[in-house]
Amino acid sequence: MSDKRMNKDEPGDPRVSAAYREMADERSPDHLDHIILNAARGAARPRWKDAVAWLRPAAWVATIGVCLAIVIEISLLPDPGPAEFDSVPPATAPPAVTSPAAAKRLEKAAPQAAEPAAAHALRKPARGPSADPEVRSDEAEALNRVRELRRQEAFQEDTAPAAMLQSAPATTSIQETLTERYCDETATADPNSWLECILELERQGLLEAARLERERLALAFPPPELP
Amino acid sequence: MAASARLLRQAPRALSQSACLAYAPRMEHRPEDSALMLRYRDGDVAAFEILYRRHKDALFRYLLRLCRQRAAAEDVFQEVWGKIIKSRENYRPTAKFTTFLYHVAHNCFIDYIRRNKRHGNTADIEPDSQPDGGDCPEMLVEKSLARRRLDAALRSLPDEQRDVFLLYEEGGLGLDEIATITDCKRETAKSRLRYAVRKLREAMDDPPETA
Repeated sequence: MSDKRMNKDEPGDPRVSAAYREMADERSPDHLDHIILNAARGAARPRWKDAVAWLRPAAWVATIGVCLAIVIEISLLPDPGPAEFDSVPPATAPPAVTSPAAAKRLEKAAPQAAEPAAAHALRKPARGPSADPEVRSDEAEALNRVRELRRQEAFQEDTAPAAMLQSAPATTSIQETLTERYCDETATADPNSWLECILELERQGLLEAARLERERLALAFPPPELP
Repeated sequence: MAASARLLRQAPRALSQSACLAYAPRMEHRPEDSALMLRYRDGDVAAFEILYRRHKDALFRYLLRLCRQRAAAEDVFQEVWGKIIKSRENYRPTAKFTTFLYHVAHNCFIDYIRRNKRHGNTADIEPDSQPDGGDCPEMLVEKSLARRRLDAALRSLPDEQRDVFLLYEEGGLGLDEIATITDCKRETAKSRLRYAVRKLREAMDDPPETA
């Protein structure tokens, strides 16, 4: 059988194996067993338990910290106040005039839009000198709108034909619908109060707004022609 | 069909493995070595104790026959288990645990040889150090002689053949695993094992006077 097995895949011999088993009966020394098992016990101290020991309080601290940070952040956010620009009807919002056709459409819609714009001007509170950041942001936004208006005007000057330039009242009405009113209706009722409003705007540094209001003043109250 | 032939081929080997574990206490549930090692990696010391008790004696005999000096075998044995303990974090059950264990042991033995250049033929293993009880004197003498002959034949084997034979007998490893551990081709391992077994069988068959 052993010879037969020698030709097989595994050339072991059961007789030799049995004899070797009978001979080899040594066992590992007890003192080595103690040493190795003690070393295994010492090395097997689960590290994840140590990690969990500080992980849970750390998680709590992190959670509380994040919550506090969110609360502080929310409390430091500026009060949104009355939604001035959000309350503007869509018709009075400055549209992006990108083509003469669009300008014509706006021109047609101008009479209807003039009234809401005036109402918006009424709602707008009078501006005074203030160091409030909210007021500053409003001024910056107003200036941005003025710049946008100037860009639109420049576009219209470039693209509008001469015929469109002749229709001055309609263009003015478009401008009125597009621009912000910096002086309310009470101020604009009288040329003197309007002028005072314009001077106030200049004192506040809103030169562009003052210039626009000055133009409106000139349109509303044209200077008398000299003979 | 092929499977049954394979089973028949492996039957003597399975017998030898069962004989190897004959001294071990019979257990109802025998968890896999790899599972035990993974449990030990997760901090279960009891799993390591089971694993250690399962393999310690075979590994010690492997190193004892390989080193041929008890003190050296004990040093290497301790070193092997130390490495197993250290490597528990990186242990991946990609192969049999015994392959992993005996690979570490083989490498530790190679390191030991390199450290101790004068590792030679001075064996201090006494085959009759643990005499059997209960046998009649004639049987004891005969067993003792058989032991001496086999032990002498085993010691006379070249290191590579002895290594392969011990991996086969003590580790219960197959040729592929032996080839992996000894870093040789499967056919080389097979050839070494065949030569080793032939020499041992011849030594056993020799009359006592010539042994």
